[in-house]
Amino acid sequence: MELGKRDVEKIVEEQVEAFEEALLERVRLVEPTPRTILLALDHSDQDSMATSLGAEIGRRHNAVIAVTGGFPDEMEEEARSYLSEASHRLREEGIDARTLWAPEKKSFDKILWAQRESGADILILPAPYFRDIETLGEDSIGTNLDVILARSPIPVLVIRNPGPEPEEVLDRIHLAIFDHTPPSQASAEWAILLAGGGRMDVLALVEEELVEMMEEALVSEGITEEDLEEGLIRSLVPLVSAVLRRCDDADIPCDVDYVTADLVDTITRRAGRRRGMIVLRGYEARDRPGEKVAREVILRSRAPVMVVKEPTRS
Amino acid sequence: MPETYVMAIFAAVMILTYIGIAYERIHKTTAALLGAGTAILLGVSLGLFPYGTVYDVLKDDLNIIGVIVGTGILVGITSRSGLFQFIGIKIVKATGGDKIRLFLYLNLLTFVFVSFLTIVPSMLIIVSLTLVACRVLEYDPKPYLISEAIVANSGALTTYASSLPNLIIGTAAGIPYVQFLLVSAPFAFISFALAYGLLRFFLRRDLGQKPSTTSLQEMRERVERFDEWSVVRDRTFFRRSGVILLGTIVGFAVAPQFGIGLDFVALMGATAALLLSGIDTDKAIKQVNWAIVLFFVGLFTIIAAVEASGLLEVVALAITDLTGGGPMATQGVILWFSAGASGFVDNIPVSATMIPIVSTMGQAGLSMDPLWWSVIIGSNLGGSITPIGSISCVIALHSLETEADTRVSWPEFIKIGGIIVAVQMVVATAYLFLLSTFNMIPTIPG
Repeated sequence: MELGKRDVEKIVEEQVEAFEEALLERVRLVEPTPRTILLALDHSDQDSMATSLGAEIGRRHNAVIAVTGGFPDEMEEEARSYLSEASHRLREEGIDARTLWAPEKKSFDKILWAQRESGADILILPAPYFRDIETLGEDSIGTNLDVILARSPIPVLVIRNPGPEPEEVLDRIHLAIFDHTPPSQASAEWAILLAGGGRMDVLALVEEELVEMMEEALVSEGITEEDLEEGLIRSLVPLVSAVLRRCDDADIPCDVDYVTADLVDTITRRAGRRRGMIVLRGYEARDRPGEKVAREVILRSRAPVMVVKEPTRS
Repeated sequence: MPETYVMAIFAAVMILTYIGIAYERIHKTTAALLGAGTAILLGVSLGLFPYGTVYDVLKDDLNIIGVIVGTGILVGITSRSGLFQFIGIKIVKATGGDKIRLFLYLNLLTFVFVSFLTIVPSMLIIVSLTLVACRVLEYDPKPYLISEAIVANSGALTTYASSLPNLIIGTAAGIPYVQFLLVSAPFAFISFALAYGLLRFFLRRDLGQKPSTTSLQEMRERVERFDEWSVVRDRTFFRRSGVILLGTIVGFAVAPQFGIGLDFVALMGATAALLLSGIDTDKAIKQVNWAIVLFFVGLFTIIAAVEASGLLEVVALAITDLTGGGPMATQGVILWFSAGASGFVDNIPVSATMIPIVSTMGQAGLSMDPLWWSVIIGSNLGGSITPIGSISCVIALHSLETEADTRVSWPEFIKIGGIIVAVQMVVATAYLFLLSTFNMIPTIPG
């Protein structure tokens, strides 16, 4: 004697639903193959970390590195020499590297041109933490970065701090999943690729504010906050379980946390506490501010952030 | 000794309460509290005991309540980690969809889960998994759920913490955790083997013919559709709660050597689970089944009042008279009586009521050690006699009715459960007889 029949019915119904969900169509993750890494330097303190991280990823995946920069034309001579030097250092480390100089005017156009020209699969971009804060205001990540994030079809790895060694960054990948869209799936695919040899923390997040808003709208239907939370969490389960399955196959230790909270705050806090790199889905220029989670995370995080927008090319 | 009519009144209160508990016309906790209220009123008004005695009774049973609350929180947290569901799906996939293998594996899984997780959370997981697996494979879930309901009661014998009757008797009698592994756990395996063999025989028609190779291939494909990873919510959470669960089990085993109560171990395990699982404490505590705690408060009060009326002493002496005070005969009667009563009432009130009866027999000079084991084995296995005898039967059969629209009648169930329990009781009688004869029942300290 521990439960009434009504309790039994309710719990069994929930458990049955959970097991039935285990039968849903599986999400199939594609493995990305980074052949070319584009390194867009800007002569900041972050360049050295961007270069060493690019070199490490290049080494692990046997990729070539194209070095470019969004320098203004009046600095061309100095910039070319700076970029060549960076390429030279990479070659000395045994990485196949070359320099690209874009015939464009604006910084972001130069980088986007180099990306098309090189056929790069990842773009590594230094974006110093709180740089130009006085000129641009606290809520700005910089025009260059904003445009690149909105337009770049390939994953952009943003380096915020001249921080730890690349091995340490790649040792722990924080994958943030807050919806099940093609970009989220692609971010998961890249996160698994980068986590090889390290470990992965999956943060499956439901926006607290969204639950509150929906609850207000659905209160007349008798839907509780818990039902809503559960429903929203369940929408993430197929993608998260695909990640778990793939990590299990690849022997990557992987932890999952399903959390209902403030997305940006939770992602930055978690990564800040445990170091490593954040991977999450990107956004389009036309997206509403609330959907630009990646932008806010970059603004507030000291850890490198990889933003993935387009589905992985198989 | 109070007057006979007083005993008759208290007997009526107890029997009516137990009928209320067994047949759920009103909630079991309400029935127990109503019975306790009536017993207190009668006891105080008839001058049987002062009101303060109620506090003494509850004070004596605080350790049991501590163990129940502590293990309730701990098991509640652990069972929500998703790993037991994960293991369940893995096991179902390992059957390749084969009907007979599925039957064996699900029964083994039930036995193992109940041993570590107790009956309720285990049955809720396994029954749900069975229903979904049978739906996918287009098998009738009836034979599977009937067998799970029955073998769960064998699993309940494995450890001190596997079932509530074990907790009640173990705590009241001061039986060390390790003695469960020496006495009741071996019999848990024996009773499982007996139950499984008989279930295969009784349900042979329902389990049907061996399928063709083609259909086996199709069945394998169907179970392969299960994705075990979809039920895992947090691996850190599981690992931590798994470690705490194991730590608590070890704590139960070693606590008496350090003079620590098992309630302390259970509550510390619960505290560690609350602290380290990452689950919101308010939510976790809200999910403790407080109805069971109040049910115990009511139950212990009724039993204490009935004990004060002298009725249980009379029953104890009557049993001793019936058996002539012979230890073997007495343990046999206690075993069979506990099993029979558990089948029709509920094994928790039965085991709780047996505590003062066995204690009285002990005061009369009988060795109590084998009698406690008789109550434990009888009350756990007796739950399989009827559809209401134990919570495993209630969960399995009620879910079968609501989720699969299949009703199992009392005669249909008793024909299977009753015979299995009878066979298990015969073997249990022999088992306890042998243990007693060869002095293999360890002495309970204190």
